[in-house]
Amino acid sequence: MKRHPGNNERPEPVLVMAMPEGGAVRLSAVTLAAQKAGLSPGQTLADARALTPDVAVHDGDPAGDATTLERIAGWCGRYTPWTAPSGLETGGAAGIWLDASGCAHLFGGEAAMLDDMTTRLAAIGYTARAGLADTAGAAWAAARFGKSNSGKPGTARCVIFPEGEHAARLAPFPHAALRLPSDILDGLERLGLRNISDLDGLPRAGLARRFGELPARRLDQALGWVDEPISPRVPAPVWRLRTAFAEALGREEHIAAAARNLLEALCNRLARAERGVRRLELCLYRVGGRVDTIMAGTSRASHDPDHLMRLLYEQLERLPEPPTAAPDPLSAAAEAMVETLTLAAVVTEPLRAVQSNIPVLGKGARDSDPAALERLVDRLAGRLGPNNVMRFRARDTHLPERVQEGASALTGSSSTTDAPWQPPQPRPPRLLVRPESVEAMAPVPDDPPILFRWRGRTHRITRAEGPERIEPEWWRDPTANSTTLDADTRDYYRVEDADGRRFWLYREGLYDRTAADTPPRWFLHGLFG
Amino acid sequence: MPADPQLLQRLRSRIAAIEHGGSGIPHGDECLPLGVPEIDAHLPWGGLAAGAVHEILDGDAPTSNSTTKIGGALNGAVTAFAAAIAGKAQQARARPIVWIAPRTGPRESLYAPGLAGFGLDPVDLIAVRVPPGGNFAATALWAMEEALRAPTIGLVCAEIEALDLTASRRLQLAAETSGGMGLLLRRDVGRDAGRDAGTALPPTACVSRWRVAALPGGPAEYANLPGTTRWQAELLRARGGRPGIWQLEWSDDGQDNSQTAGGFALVPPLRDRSLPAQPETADEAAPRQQRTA
Repeated sequence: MKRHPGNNERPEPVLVMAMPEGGAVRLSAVTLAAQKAGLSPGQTLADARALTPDVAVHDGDPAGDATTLERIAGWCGRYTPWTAPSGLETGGAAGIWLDASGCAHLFGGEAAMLDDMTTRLAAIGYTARAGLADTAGAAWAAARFGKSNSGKPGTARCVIFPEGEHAARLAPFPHAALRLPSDILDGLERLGLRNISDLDGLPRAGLARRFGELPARRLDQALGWVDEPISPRVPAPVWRLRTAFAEALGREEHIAAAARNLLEALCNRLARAERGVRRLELCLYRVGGRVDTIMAGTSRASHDPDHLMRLLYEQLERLPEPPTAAPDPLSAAAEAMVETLTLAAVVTEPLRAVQSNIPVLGKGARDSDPAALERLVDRLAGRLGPNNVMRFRARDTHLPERVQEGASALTGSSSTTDAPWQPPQPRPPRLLVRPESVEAMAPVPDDPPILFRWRGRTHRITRAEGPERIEPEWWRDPTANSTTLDADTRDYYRVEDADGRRFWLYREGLYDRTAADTPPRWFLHGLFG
Repeated sequence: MPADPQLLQRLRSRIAAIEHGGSGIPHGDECLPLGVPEIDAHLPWGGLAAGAVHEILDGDAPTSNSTTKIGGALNGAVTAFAAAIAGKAQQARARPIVWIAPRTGPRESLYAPGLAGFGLDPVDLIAVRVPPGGNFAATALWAMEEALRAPTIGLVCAEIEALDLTASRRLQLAAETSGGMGLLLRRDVGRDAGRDAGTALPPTACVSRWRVAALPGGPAEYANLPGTTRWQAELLRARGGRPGIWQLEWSDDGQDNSQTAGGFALVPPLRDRSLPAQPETADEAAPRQQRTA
């Protein structure tokens, strides 16, 4: 797949990408014009310059290629949920796998689907060739070596092997169509084997002895005798709906209305299956080739379209402006229009049917909806982020900053705590998670300070309680030894200043272990009521 | 001629109905008593009104420019006072509490064991952190309004500094519609502006405004130990009520356990108590005479 040059009026420049490889700079990808000039991937740059002196050379960018390929694979999600970027390692022959089983009828047949795909890709600047066959290997060959009606290989935009005919159609293809490395291809060439039918006729044992098991395996995979497992980019969700618009949508309320339609259909199906959504994914496929994904999580499985729509809408209205390369605002707006929507319930859970909308009268009516809290949590988490809405959970430890653990309220259950909140000593309602160093004056060892300075303010201490000694948890840090243990011991004091403000101070380390010339350090760890 | 008390009562309830926007749900009968008879009788609602937003100013916060943009440390006294009210709401209304705490994070956090000591059960507490950013204030107000509108929340406590009349009116309307209860914790930024403490902050639509500051603790077993937590709670403004000032203390069993935590009590006047560190100002002393009279 190659990016179109932006301007069609000029003659296509002979453009190649080159990368250092094995001590020489070799071409990694070439444009169509460069192909016509006789250049091909794998050539050294010196050879290419000798053939075509005016060749334009750009640095190859494998990471950028991988990102782009991944993005196009996401773009292809409009055709099937099962997509995977493939074959960047084969150099210049990268592509995308689509499992289109049962998808083609949505687009009016296989040919129409491939045509739509290549046309749309061309519209966003990519030349694509599509192949469709019974096996992954045959489809790969079809896309790259398929013949158009004119009979010239590699020129057809869409090649379809009808069902069951892939073996016959593959037979005249060269061995390169079997995804074999170049050294094997050279070897086969030397033996006088020209195409796949030649290879198919050979005894397998001899083939394997000479070239390893790869040619035979690739052949079997292409012919469908052996299964070829490919991992999709993301697992294909079971619950997924898609809608495409004859005319792309630009206005937010129209997009929201379309999403609402999808959501209602999805919720109907889920309700029939007695399942509810925990995670919802809405993908907006924009004309410019961008795909925006909105995720919404719920704290309790739900198939209530009103609630789920509110979660989606919350994020839909705050989608960032898509970055664009369009020269004027008008075409930028056109690129941002949405042409396809998919909605998937990524995670679902069984949900018992509940009777809804029974009006309850009386004073307790407001308490009658137990899901109202979950709905609030979902909405807050949807806009602020799931980790910003939390419940506190107790941990069984003595270290004050480790006692409480903030867990996302989306995942946390409401009523279970592992340990009760019952420290033997009073604790402050506000904690400085990272204790702040204070300048303290403590003339008597093992006594609380008489004054300290924190955030530019001096506090004279009138009353104090302590020390409460808290030892570090040596089993958490395998590198700790006995001396650092003592240094990490904290003596906590609850102190009150002249105005009645109360603080939780601690001194780090023990007096008798620290050297006389380095006074122990004091920290403020909490604010008492 | 003395007014007929029944007539007055009828007129008051009509005004209340109008004030509630004609929604037909007067929440006047629902309130949260603080458990101190003197204060509950002083407040026009017999406690803190439900279906309303109350403002609590931090009387201790540093007013200098040492505070950050989000707002300097709200000190422990106000946190504890709000936690105590939230704990009462949690028990009385049997519903969870939402605490919108922008600074909960890697530096500073609400501390559940300490909150439990003031009767707020952390199990039924949802802490909401508003990520700092461009529209921080708008997001925090949105979160508070959402929580106020949710019917199953006992009380919404929010540390929000930037609040104008419109925003507070919105919050108040949200509370009136749903019967929710809101506490706004704010710094008393106008305190240095002049003698008229607390009124330098622009007015809001909240039904009451309090200022809470720490007082030296109550008596302890030994003279040098910090005793019970004490506050000076000043009612600066209350819709339909008079201002007042009280000294409160937290009577508890010394255990940080929300189940056995105690409640508010008035500081016994001048008994077992050191005099306040600063002499009372004239305008502070006036309401107290009123009360003791």
